[in-house]
Amino acid sequence: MNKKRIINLVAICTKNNILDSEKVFSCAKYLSRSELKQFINALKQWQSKTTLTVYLAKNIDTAMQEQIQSLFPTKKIIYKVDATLITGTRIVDNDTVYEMNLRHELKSIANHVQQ
Amino acid sequence: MINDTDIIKQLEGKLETFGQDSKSHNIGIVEKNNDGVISATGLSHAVMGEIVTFSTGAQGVILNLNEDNVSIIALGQVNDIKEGDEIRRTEKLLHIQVSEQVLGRVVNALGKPLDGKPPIKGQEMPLERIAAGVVEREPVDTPLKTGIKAIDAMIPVGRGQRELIIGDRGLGKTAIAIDAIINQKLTHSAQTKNASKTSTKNKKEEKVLEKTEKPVICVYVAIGQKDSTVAQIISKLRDSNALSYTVVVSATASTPAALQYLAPYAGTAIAEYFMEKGQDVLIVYDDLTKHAWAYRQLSLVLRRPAGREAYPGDIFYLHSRLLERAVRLNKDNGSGSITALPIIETQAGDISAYIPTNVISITDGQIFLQSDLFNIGIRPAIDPGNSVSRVGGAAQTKTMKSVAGKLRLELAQYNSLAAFAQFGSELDQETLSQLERGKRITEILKQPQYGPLPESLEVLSLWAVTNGYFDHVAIDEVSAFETSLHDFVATHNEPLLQKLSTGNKIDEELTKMLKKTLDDFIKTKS
Repeated sequence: MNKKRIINLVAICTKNNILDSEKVFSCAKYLSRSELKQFINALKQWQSKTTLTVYLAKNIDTAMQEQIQSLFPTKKIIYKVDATLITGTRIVDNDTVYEMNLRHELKSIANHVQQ
Repeated sequence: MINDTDIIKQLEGKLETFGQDSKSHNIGIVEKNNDGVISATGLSHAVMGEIVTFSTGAQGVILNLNEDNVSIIALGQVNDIKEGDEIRRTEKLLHIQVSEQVLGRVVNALGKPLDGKPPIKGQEMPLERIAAGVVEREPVDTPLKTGIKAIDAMIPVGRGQRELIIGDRGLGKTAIAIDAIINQKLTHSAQTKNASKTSTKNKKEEKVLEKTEKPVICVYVAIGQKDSTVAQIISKLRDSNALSYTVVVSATASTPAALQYLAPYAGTAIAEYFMEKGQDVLIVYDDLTKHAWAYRQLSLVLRRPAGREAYPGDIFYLHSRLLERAVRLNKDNGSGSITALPIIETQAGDISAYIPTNVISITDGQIFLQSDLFNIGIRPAIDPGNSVSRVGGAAQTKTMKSVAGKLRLELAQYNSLAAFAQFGSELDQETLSQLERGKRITEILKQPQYGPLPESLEVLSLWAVTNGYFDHVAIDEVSAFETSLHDFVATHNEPLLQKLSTGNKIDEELTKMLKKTLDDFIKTKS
């Protein structure tokens, strides 16, 4: 099974950004070991593309969460608390990281002065 | 000592540009780490040849952009890089910091000092760059004097030329390159800061030099060499007062293959810095065979398709894009030049192997060293038959052309006659004298290592031997005779040496002067 077919398989197993576990396991039965590895890697890539991780210095209320969801309507958002940010947020969208927190600003100042 | 107000003003200046950096970064996650190749997902905005930084602080360069991942070659220690580590883009391609401070220093392929002195800061020069176009160039017409009689007479090198030095191991390839570097001392000021013990001969050489030539900066790139060899070379350059205008880029055998691959490009970037300022640069790549091996190793671990002798398909491009950057710029672009002396090591004298033929087709000539000549004592063991300079007489002064014109032909005639004479048949007087003359020419072309000569003394020796002044000297005394001739002329007839170093054709007046001086010298010997 080539790469394109694996990607099609992943598209079949997902709908509205949700992974259908029944379809995933039923597909997996018919795959060889190497194909299964490729299928797992493809699923992981799909997951990282469709998931957004938001790191916050402290927990936020539902209203704020809805506001963030409206900025990224197609993504599944996971919220995590990281007190080292001091204040602000850090958003990881697949391979792009948005730094909007005090920890990053302080590091930037330090690097800037060093240069 | 800057005062408080200046410090605050500088910080305020930095504040104006602060925050203009993007707050978003493109990152990657380490998937695999094997054989010094790190496979990472993400980095979707990364470009080929970009430097990336690992969370451990190590750096790497992206050498493969695959569909789902990128392959990164580490430029330092990678044993502590593990799966899941974050990788950040620097948004910079490979570069090296160059300034005047780099002269006299020993650095690695990334510009990091290896001599224990402070880091070098300066202009960022890219390692990879497109060579100057046709319109920006000028033909090679200025000699780069190596100080080796055989080369300056028969295989002259010009500033802006690429001349390959090729031969088996241990025949003196590096020795020729180092002598060429040491000889450039004569193009710099005669007063060096740390002039320690200089022989009488060297002081005389400095006296006769007319500073009509642009000084030549030298770059020596050691690729895959032994550390002890490089240390010896640096020591020799220092003792000869040549290190002050030389940069050594070292990527010895113990360094990662990535650094050995990048070292020649780093050396070229340093050379281009000085060339753009209008200066002439000599760069030695020692040697490109090991450079090709390092690139082959990298390509195999990157799983690139292997071609002939397991080299990757772009092995020719590896060297062609490097050597094309050796150029002579025209006046509109500063008149600077880079002269390249790449070195290739052959196996059993096979110049028709893959890498040697590649580099021969790129360069503007080759100096071929033969083991047979080396073994019978002809050192430098240059084979004049297989050696060529495609620039030729355009890279010679008129003085040298006057004496060297018939030298190659006489030597070729002697070699064919010598083979014939072995049959033992009786020879006529003319043939015998031709043979004797050829033996003396061969003897005069021998030269000790670390003994480069200024052009005036080279011309003097060659003129004397081609005009019969050595015919009465026994073969084993030719060298001593030549040395005493040089001392005699330097002591008794300095104006003659000054006239010989002007670069003008040997006219009647100069011929008379030469004849008189040589007659006087012979009288002192009898």
